[in-house]
Amino acid sequence: MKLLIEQLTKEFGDKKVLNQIDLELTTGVYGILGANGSGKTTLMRILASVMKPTSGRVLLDGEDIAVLKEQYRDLIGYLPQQVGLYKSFKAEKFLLYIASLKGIAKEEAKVKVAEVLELVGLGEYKKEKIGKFSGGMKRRIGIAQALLNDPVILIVDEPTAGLDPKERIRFRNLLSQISSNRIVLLSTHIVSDIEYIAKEVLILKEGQLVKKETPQKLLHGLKQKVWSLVVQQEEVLSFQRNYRVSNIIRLEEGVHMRIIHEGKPHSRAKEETPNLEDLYLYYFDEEESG
Amino acid sequence: MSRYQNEDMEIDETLKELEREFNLSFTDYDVQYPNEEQMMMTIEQLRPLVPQKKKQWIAKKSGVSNILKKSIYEFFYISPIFWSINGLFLIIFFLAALVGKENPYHLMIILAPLPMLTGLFEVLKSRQDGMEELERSFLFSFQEIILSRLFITGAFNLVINMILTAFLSLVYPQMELGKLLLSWITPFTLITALSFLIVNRLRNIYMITAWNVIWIGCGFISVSSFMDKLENAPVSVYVMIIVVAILCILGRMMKMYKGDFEYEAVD
Repeated sequence: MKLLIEQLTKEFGDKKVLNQIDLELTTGVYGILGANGSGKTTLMRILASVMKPTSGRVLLDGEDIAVLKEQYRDLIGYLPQQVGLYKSFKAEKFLLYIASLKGIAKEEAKVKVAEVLELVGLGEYKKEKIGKFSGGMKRRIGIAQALLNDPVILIVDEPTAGLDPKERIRFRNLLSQISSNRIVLLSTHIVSDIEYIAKEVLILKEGQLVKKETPQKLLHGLKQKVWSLVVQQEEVLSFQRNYRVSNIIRLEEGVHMRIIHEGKPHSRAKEETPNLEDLYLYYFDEEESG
Repeated sequence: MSRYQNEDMEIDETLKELEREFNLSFTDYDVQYPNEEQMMMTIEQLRPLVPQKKKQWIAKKSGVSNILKKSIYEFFYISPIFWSINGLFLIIFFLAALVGKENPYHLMIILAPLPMLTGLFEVLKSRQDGMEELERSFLFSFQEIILSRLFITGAFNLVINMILTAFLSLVYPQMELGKLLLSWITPFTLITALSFLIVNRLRNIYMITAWNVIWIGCGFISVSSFMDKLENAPVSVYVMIIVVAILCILGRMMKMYKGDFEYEAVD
């Protein structure tokens, strides 16, 4: 299975939110990294056929999804960034309703609903009203509805936003568990969400695809760009002004700083192994602070 | 014969010969008119490449049956508040008709479109509950979902109106059936047409609330002289309103069905 994105552009008035994106996706987890307003959500919406592109097209195994229409929608599972859910519905009733909207036959739906509720750990809450659920439980109901039709393409937009660390880990493990034999697109700005599960990381910046690489290759590109250094308290401000500082830890002997810079920032600086957080900062720090 | 005349004749002959050769060489390029069998063979070979109208019709028919099928499902997921409110309206109607001895024509005019009006909250619940984006990604298209909700609300409204018509005809045998029918079909079709407009263009829950309040408020505080004028309006006015409203409903339905329902949110 192959999802091919060709010259995809989306404009809202004068604003170009996506600018000629070319992309090829096959089975596996893809993490989409980008700052707010980078076009992640718009890309996800177009792939989920919620929105039409201004130009360009998306092909599934050579066929345009705009032509496939419901045939394509039958294959996808989508969890938008913000989803309200019908709060007056009980979890089981809500999923049965969604199953009906996904065209799943009644008997099959009952089995699938029980299955996905167990998968997301909400089996014992099936008779509880969604309105009473915590943020994490609502996200889990969100992913449960996305899995109801056993989708071959799973699109989840910022699934861990607003979740506490425990719920985030649970969610990450859940995604990892369900990702085999599917194309999973996961958009986030929390890099730890994708660090260990993504086959490839896509970096979107101002509507353009800046990079598409495996995490290892992306991190390799940061070699000799991440440094650590212990400085005195009075030097901290100066370093913060002149360099991108990804982390500061106060120690007895001074302040330990993690710096991202093209060259060695100081003679005492030691090279560090880069991680995806450094990578995010490398690409987006100027944009976010600016 | 002069020498020049001989030469002319020779040239003429040569030219004629050339013309003959020229014509003969063109016979190689002659396209034989095909016989019936060859024509049919060509048509048959090209048939798979021609988009078939019949298939389009099947697709449309399956879309309509999708809406009907979906409407049945929707019925079981309609909010209990909708049933309660409409139950309350019915009780008020019966009390006003039987105890209050209110003019039944006036009562029908007020009550006839209320299920449709209150049903708009159900129709647009996706937007109200933040589910619109998600519902646009499902197998049933968003248009089909909205149309099926409109259909079930409209059908419920129609059934209620027919029951009330039967009830009033039994309680007040002296009532004119034609007048009674017009007194509910007119506001019902008019409000349904406006509902389609709200669903298509405005999609705003506050608009629906305002619309409900205006209709119910106007209905209850209207002075009886105004209602009398309305009741005694010529039949042609009623018919004209009904025809225009039905045309608007059909037009809107077609537009929605064809997909004129873009998602508006931006990144």
